[in-house]
Amino acid sequence: MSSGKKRILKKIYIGLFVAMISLPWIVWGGVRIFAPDYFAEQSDLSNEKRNKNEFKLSDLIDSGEGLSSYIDDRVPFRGGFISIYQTYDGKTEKVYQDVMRSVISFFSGKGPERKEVGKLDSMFGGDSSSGGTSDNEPTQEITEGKNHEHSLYVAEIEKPECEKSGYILYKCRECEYMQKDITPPKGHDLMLIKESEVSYDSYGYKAYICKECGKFEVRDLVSKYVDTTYMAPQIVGGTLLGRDNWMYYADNNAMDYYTGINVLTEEQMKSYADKVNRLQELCNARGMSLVIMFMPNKEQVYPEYMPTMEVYNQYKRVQQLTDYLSANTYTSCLYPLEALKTAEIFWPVYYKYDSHWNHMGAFVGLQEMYKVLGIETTNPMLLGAPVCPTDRNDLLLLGGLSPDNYNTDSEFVPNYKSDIYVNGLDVHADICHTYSSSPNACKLVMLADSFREMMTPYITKDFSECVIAHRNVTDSVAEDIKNCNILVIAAVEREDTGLFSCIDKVIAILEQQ
Amino acid sequence: MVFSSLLFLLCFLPLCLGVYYVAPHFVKSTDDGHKLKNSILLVFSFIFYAFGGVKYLALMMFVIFINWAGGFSVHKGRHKNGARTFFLVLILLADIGVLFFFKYFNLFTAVLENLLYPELAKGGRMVNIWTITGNGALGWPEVVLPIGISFYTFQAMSYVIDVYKSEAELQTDIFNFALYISYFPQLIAGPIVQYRDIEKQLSMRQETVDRFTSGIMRFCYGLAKKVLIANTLGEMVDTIWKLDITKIGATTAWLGAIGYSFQIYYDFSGYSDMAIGLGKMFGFEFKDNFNYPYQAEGISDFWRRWHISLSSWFKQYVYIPLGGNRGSQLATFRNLFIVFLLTGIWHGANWTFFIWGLSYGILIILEKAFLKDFLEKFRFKTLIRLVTFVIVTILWIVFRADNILLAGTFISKLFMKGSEHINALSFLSGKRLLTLVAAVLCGGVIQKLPISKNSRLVKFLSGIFTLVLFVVSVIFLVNSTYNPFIYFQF
Repeated sequence: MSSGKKRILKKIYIGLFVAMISLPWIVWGGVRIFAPDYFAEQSDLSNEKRNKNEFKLSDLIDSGEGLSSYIDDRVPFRGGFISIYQTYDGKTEKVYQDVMRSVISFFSGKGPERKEVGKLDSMFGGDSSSGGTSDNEPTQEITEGKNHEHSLYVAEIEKPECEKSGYILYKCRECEYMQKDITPPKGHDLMLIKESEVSYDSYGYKAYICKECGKFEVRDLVSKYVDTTYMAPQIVGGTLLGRDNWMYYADNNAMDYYTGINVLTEEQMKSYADKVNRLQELCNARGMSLVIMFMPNKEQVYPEYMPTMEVYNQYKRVQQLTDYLSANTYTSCLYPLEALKTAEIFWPVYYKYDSHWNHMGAFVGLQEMYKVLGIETTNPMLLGAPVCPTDRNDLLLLGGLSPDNYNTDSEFVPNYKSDIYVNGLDVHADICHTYSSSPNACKLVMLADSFREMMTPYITKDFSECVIAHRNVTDSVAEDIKNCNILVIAAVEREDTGLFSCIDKVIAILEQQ
Repeated sequence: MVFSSLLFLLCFLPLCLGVYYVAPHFVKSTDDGHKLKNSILLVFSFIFYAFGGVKYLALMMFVIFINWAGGFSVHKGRHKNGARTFFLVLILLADIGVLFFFKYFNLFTAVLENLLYPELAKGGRMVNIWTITGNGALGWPEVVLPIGISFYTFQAMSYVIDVYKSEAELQTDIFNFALYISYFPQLIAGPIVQYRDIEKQLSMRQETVDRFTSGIMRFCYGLAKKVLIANTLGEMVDTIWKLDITKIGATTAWLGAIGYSFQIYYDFSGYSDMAIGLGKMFGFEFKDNFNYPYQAEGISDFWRRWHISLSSWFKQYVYIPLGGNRGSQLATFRNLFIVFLLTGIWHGANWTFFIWGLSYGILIILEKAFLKDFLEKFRFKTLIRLVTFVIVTILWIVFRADNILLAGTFISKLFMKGSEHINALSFLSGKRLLTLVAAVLCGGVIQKLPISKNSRLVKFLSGIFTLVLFVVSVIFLVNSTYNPFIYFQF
């Protein structure tokens, strides 16, 4: 090749490079003018659950990072680049998963079979397989009286109940002699209401309800099968892909809460406890009840679908924090992990393709909250809960995954207090202010994150007035906070620091005269 | 600003190239437009540096001014030798003083607080000293390290010493001198350019199509090294280092250690490649900073291949003035020891860097004293390369650790079984595994394949390949949130 041709080729090469670094903005400007829909679609950041970064000129004094982030969010064809990346990244990981499973199976000598874990104890206390009968034998109580042949009459009859003994009390007509014949408990008259075969998705059990007393009982509980074969963690966008198409939120160090590597120091927990104590003082001064609640991350309730990830500390950050706050404050602090794990036996409590708990999960969490508030609770098993399809799938969106490739998820939606009507219900609103026909004449204010949305339909039926607000708009409900009866501040586990920022705001509000 | 940011790639670079090559066509000049071009580069370099914080620009300007002015006072012929030497010491003390203040003040404070107020040391005085944990008793504010200070002060010192030794001409134009110090491709993380190497290029350099083309290729390779390899491995390594180190197993520890070895190499050499490539685009030629260091056959060989510009600086301005290898063997070892100790200290205010440099000093002395002949004659060079890599990898742990106690724990984990259920595979994914393989192959293995680099086909394909690498790197950048440069902290 002549040097002239070489030179031309090199100039073309330089031209291509210069075009690649300079033309995108010009083309992008054209797209914005001539194809605004495509421009909007490519610029959309809603999948990433955040707004575009903005910056102020004054920020440049300290650092240009703000401008860099500003450009990052507006780079030409951003959406297309992300889509290409995720497509090929997904394919690479799929091949990797298949290869690694085969390799590990080959070396371990085992196929990628699922294995059954041991039986779980009944989560309802006592030995549920015993049928609930009492061990008490009938006994006779005698009160000494005069020494003669007594002329007895039946003075009192207490009928035996399912678990409670009855008795017949005889009294002598002539003296003070009494005789009490104990009637043993009847035992429950159980009716099978739900039966489940053990599988990878569900526990095996038989659920009964007593026809007489309505007690709920579980028998023959067998834990579901767990896939223990190796599965590499794969994060697409901010979504961690789990087993059987379960998905988890993996942005913002969320996985640190699962692996247990981010526990708080004693000093940090003390500083949080100080805040809670200060807030409790302010609430006490106004006669308000205060509840702090951490909603568990999905992976804490459903670890069985997580890919192979080492859990370094079983006593994790939020459990430690909840225990610490319970021991060092007078505030009711709640982390309903065990309740959700129990409920998970009977119903899905989190969405499969979404990072949030579902309606049943929220309902169970709410009952735990009612327990600490001393409010009557409802066993969800005794409610009608029709299964409904759901299109909640923020993790699919976050991962840039097409919902068309996944089966529709479903959930059980409790049919709760249908006789109570609620005005102003808008679960997605930043501030949902409701009035209901509930006989409980209390005003409840709840400041939380998006997990509040699934609780709202139920909590609003239990109080005559509710203000359910996103914690980002705490200042907008300042007056409601000042004059409520019950204040609930809640956050999903991975947003625990956000909860304490919210507490700071509430303290500032309540300290105002 | 980092080269591997979309702001740099798609805004700063095209704007800078455009102004640099277009502006001279509109302004008449007698010097082929060099003055204008240098002024343009200087303005863009200041803008580039200001991204790390405008306030630090003043510090850099101060260093530029005292060294430029200092050049007149140490220049031969203007003053007597005694006075020149006095001024040289004064200027070097000022440079080193600035460097030490910003780099070591926090270490000094922490040590002093623990020595003077041991009762406030919660974790124990010695533990706090080793982990550089102050107790705030002195109430002195924390000093923030201005970005690139270690690099530009060394370049400034290089100028003053070269002028003093008459190995470089006095630079009378402060703008040219300012460009030498602040030229954005090498400003923040090197390579450390010695004044004598760039002196002539400042006033007369030739931008050619060939140079520009090879600059693009070098830049694209560097970008890919950084974005595709270093960033991917960096995510994995950071995840492992975030764990409770006391609980990790040997496999995880090795994965973290090896991953970091490759991460730091591809991160730093990628940056250097980008700097060299950018230099070529504007007509400058910088010396290589790396030469496949993980192909080194011994520790001395490693240091001939790793961060060559820093090694050359210390060789030129410390080792040779101390006597180099011209004296007795003991004197040579002493000089080597001092150089490597200084190399460690240059990296930062942490005992880890001190121990890291100290270890290399000892290892090089041992190698030169006992293993020199063995290494030359030993036939299985691959084994030597492997052992060298393992030693270097272990010492990178010391370099990477937040404190020396953590480094010791991590190294112990390499050789202990640890918790059985910890599985290094948890940290791998398809992308990371492929990246590790690519890191091994691109670290000198592929380059040794018997392919003629001068063949037309190879050159053509290389051109296409680099542009593809550029696009893929941009795609990765758009998707990535992980993009730090390790050597920015120095």
